[in-house]
Amino acid sequence: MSRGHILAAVLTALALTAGIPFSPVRDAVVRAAPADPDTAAFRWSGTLATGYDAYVQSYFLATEDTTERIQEMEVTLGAEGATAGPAAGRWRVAPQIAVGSERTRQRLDLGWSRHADDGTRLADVLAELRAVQYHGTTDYALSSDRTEGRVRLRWFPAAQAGTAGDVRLEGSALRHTDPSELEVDRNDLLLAAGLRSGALSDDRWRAGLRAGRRAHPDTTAIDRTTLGVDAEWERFRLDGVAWRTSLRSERRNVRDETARPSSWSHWVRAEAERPLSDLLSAELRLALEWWDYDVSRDAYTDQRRWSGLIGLRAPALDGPGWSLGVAWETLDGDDPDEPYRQLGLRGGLETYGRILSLSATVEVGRRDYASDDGAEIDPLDVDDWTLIPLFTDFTYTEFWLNGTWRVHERLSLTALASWLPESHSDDEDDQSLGFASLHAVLRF
Amino acid sequence: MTAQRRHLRPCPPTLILAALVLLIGLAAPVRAQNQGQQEQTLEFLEGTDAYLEQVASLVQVSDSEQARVLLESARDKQGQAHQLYEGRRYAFALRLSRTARQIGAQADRMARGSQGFQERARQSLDRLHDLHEQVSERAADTGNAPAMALVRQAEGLYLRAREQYEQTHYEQSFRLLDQAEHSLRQAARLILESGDLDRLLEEQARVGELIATARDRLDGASDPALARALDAAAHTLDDARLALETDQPLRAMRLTQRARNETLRVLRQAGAGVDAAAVQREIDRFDARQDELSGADDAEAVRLLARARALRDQAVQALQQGDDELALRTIRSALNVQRQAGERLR
Repeated sequence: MSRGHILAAVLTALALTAGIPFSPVRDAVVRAAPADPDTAAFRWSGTLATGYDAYVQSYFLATEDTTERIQEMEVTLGAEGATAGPAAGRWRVAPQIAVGSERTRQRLDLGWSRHADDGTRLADVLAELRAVQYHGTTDYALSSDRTEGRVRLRWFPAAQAGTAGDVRLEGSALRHTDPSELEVDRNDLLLAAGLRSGALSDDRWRAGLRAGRRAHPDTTAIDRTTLGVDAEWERFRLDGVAWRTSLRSERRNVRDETARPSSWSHWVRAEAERPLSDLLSAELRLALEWWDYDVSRDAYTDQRRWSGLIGLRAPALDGPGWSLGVAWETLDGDDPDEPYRQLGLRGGLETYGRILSLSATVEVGRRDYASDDGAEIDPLDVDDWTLIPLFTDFTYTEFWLNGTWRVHERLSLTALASWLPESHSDDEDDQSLGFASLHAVLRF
Repeated sequence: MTAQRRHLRPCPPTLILAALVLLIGLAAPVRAQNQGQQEQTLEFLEGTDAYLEQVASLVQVSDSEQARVLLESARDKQGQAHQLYEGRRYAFALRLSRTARQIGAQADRMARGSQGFQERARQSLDRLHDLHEQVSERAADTGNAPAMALVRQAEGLYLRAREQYEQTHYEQSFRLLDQAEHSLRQAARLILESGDLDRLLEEQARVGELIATARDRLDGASDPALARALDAAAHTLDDARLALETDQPLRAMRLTQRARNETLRVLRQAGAGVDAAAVQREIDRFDARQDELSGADDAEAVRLLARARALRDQAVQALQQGDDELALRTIRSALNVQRQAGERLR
């Protein structure tokens, strides 16, 4: 019996044991020892879910259409126990087991947090354990069983002050039963510290530094250290412009630069929304993603991607809300094949009610690659194959649907779906990517 | 004559020779053509070998399982093409090598595209991990049910994206993460717009005060249209309070905003709009009350008073900048927070 199977058995037993005190009565309360005497209630809730997931990718490959498909049915039993009421020390335990047609998964979360009198979080500890066992006939291509553990400690110095501190230490380990070139064991360590706006601040902001280390016990060449900075600021006014900006920069140093080059990466996002009337707002979103490798080679080429959206939105107030806008994206980089410009029209419908929560988005657009001049080339007519553009222009449609229907107080249906077909100037490059999921969740 | 006839009548060896010359004459282009096809095929096979080698180095570092499978398939086809070439079946060899190149190009695309998506998905996983912690804690703290539903939806997408990442399906992973981020940001928006509940309650109290002020000022005025408009504003505020009670913070926030705008419109039409003197009176009222409350020893009250003081300073700033409406709303907020501090001290 493998380590994965032993762990699976242990976690399954824990999950089932944790399930015993379930009561059909909502918010059943069980006395537990660790909490304060006056608020030592421990409240359990549970979920039983079943559903279907499908992932599809299709492309034209050497005279025939190729479709890769993974379909999975799954039944999940989960429980969550947490300290109820305003206790100073609060516990949380959440075991879960999922049995599916492709895999069996277990998960166990344990948490403890310390709170001030007004409920402000002062410190917390979180431990997570996750395990996956693939069945022998699985459609998943990489199917080594794996176990992952993670522990996180956080401390919030001066949590109740105007400016609060935030210190985090996190460690995690991933182990595969049968490691391979693409299923690599790893150990991660992260130390992060920052400052953020206090509870009384009108604007929300945060700025922090982080240092991380990833080690691969079997492949030390790609071990790496990271140093990063992140910042966020948001301002919301009931009748004014709402602003939100985020920044994240990271330096990644790889142990063996010949295996993978070290790099800088930056991610910046800015958003603004201005009410035009009680029922209409104008919105603008801009984003920049920037990769700069110390040595630009192979698939590791420097890239800068700009994207944005400008549009109108009618928030969901008395019924469905809608949005309509123009989205664009440009990629500039060292690889002459990859730079492109993309322009699309995006529309959406949304409603966030107690019974139905639904968001549907459709974007239709065109991507033009700088390297594709539209000429049809027969590979037999050219001496140097690399002169043929690798990527060809295409028209795309991107569709997303996220919906939750609360059929009953305890029963809900969740549907998630996406479909992204691309119609290329060269038919042989046509491809599509799809995802669909339908789940029923019973809470008790 | 005989000799002449003999000369004219071709003898059998001559006939054979002529036939041979004719055959050679016809066969030479065929052989040349064959040789040309052989050379062209060999050249194409060598070109494909070089290209697949180039793609292999890219695939090797790309961490894409799909690209590896495609490259392996291209190599198989190329191996078969070489065998056909050895068997002098040049046309078939050429066609198969061309197929190998096409599969190789797909592996090339997959590897390059995959690398870009891998970097984006990895960053997105880190970012979402942090964002999820922030938003889920805020949603739980504020008891915002619609936001919590979106957080759960995002969690589901995040877990699926992680599995797709482990499977090296980086584009699928990135698309799922993009959607998870959308759900989390929508949840954050719901929490923010509902003003963490406390802020929304404060805003509703302020709008209530504004409506009461407007009634006082309209008292005696004989315009029934304005009175009806003010009643409508009060009705909108009642709807907003009901929406908050029935767990619809976004609707509550928007209705509160609408009630305030309707009230301000009534005040403007009545010619009883905000003026600097009215704001200054409220500031004076605040200052007088603040002095009474100073010296409080309750920690929560001290914090509330500090916040009220900060709001008062913002109101003064807005007044100095000539934005009387903003100044009035801000000083009313300050008074409201100050009142909460006073109640706590009592």
